Amino acid sequence: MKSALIIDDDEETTASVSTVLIGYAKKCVHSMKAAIKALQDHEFDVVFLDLKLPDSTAEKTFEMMPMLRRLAGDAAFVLMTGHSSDIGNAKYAVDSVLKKPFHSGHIREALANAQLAQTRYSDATGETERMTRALLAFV
Amino acid sequence: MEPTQLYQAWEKGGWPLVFLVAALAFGKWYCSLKLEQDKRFHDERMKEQQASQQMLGCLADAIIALVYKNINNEDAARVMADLASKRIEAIRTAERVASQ
Repeated sequence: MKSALIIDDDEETTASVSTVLIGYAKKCVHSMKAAIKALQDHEFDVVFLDLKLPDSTAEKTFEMMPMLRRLAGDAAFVLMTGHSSDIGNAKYAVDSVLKKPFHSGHIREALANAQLAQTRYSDATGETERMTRALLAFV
Repeated sequence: MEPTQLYQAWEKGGWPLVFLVAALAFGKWYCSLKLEQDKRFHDERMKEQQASQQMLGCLADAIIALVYKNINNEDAARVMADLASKRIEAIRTAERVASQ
């Protein structure tokens, strides 16, 4: 069974993302600290990450993104944010961007992009792409 | 190839057909042997390439750790350094297991 990690402090958002992820084992966490712990302890296929968390500002989350990506291994990364201006160069580092407010169609689209990324990551150059994207998060 | 196939060839066409059937059987065996060797060679190269990619990933982890160290994010630097060393160990262990 595929698994998904949803990192967001807003219960409503985690609930709406969870609803769309049919057939996935879902884990929801609400802080950066819990996200790091979850990524260290479990493997996921897709990670939904909110930029602003109670223990992390958008800037801090950008800073942590290379680490989160490397900890997540093969997982595809979907960035969730309410402000397009926040995204900046981070779009190069993630597999998909979900702009808030979003509806189920947007989540499905993001999920499809994430699944496409997972297919790419399983090929011979997958590891190189993943590490390049992790390093791009510093840009 | 079954001995009966050679006997049937002998009955139908004598020595020329026996040689032909035997040559075909040898050719088939030799080709399958070469294919098997090529497959093994290819699989080994693929494993080496995969290990090399994974090792590059460890290098990226180390670089990320260094960047965190430079920006005074000690916790993240430690997490990345741990991750890099664990992955190096995992690659080496996998290699040792494969070579045994």
